[in-house]
Amino acid sequence: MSWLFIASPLVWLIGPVRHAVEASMFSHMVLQLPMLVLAGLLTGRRLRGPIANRIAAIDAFGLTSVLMISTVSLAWMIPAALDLTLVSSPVNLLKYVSLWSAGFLLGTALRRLTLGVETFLVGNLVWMLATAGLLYIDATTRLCVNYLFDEQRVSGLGLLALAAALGLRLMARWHDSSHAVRSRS
Amino acid sequence: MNEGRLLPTLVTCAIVVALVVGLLGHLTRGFERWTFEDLRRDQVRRGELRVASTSLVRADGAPLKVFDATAPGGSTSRPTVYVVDFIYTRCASICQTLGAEFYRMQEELRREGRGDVRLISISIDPLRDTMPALQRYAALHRADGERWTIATPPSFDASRQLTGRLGVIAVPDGLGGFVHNGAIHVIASDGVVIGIHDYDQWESALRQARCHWPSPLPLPQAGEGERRAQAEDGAGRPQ
Repeated sequence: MSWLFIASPLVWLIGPVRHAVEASMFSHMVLQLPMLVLAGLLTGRRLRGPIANRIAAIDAFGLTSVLMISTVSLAWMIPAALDLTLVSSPVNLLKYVSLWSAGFLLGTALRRLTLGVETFLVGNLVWMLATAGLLYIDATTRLCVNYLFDEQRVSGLGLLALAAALGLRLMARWHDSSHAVRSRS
Repeated sequence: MNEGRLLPTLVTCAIVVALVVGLLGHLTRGFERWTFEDLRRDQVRRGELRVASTSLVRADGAPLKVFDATAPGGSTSRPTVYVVDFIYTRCASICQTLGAEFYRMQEELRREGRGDVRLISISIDPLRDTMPALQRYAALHRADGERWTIATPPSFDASRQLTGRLGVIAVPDGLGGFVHNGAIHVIASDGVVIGIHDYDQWESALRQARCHWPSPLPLPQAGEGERRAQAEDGAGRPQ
């Protein structure tokens, strides 16, 4: 399963698949963007050795990767940025590279993340996704010129669902860690 | 972890923040414009949006060259100012409203006897908007073909090129029609877009087109920039 995700960015090299997924705002934002991050993350998690150490030197506590993933995700939720990926190939390439790299960096840092930093990261993402989702749902005009008004609402709901899923996952992590502490004592 | 090991991380974080803030600031014009349409209208305010000279085909089949600064400017010596909308003839809603608005503009221009403002409705669906379809649209809305011309780019590619340059993006609405941004464009004879007005703002579009050249003849001492700035006073985006 994880190998499938690691190889998944290759799918976007196939023009018709890429166009089909990017033609809908929901699959573009709620499916493709998270898949790119996840592919990078699962790849980065496997990285060992000197390169991993060199990355770790500039990513104490995973602070750099947390910052990177937060800012990059935020950037691609801006309506103008999403629109530009569809009218400009360099911008689209930047989208693929930035999201995958941010995921990759986070993957290399996963083992170094304390629960505190992880809570900060996921809390941030939940807040950001939920805010963007609500903005897309509440907007009274089309925010992206490439997408229809109805799609915008559905995508907003999708972002809210993503936020909820991440929030639940974080709670599960808290539960696990308190369980681990109890069983140690 | 001591300070010496944290420092490279902090420096990297600072670089990441600077990069992202710089890029986003550039994209959103200083965190002011968040949508594509806002950016496009901002480009217009700066006089940065322009289209190349374009060949169209009129509803009667005759060729029509627009946004060509070298062409003679209609009945007066002043270059033409174009008021342009994008339509497709099967459209049941907004294009029909636009048709009614363009008719009112045509009649106002006729009353004033202005030959330097031309209304052009350009099809965004050149494959299905054949000459008979365009003629029906023209007849339905009583376009006189002189002050107001219904036209289409000669091919699908030409259409994509024109709308692409303008940043007008038509999305299939799933019902056989289109939804698109960009309502009424006011374009100077040299192809520089000087104003974009919402669908219900045809009066401000017409006002801007009329004022682009101060009546009755351009003042020789007024520079190009000044005239533009003057015309743009009335071109702010209605909220």
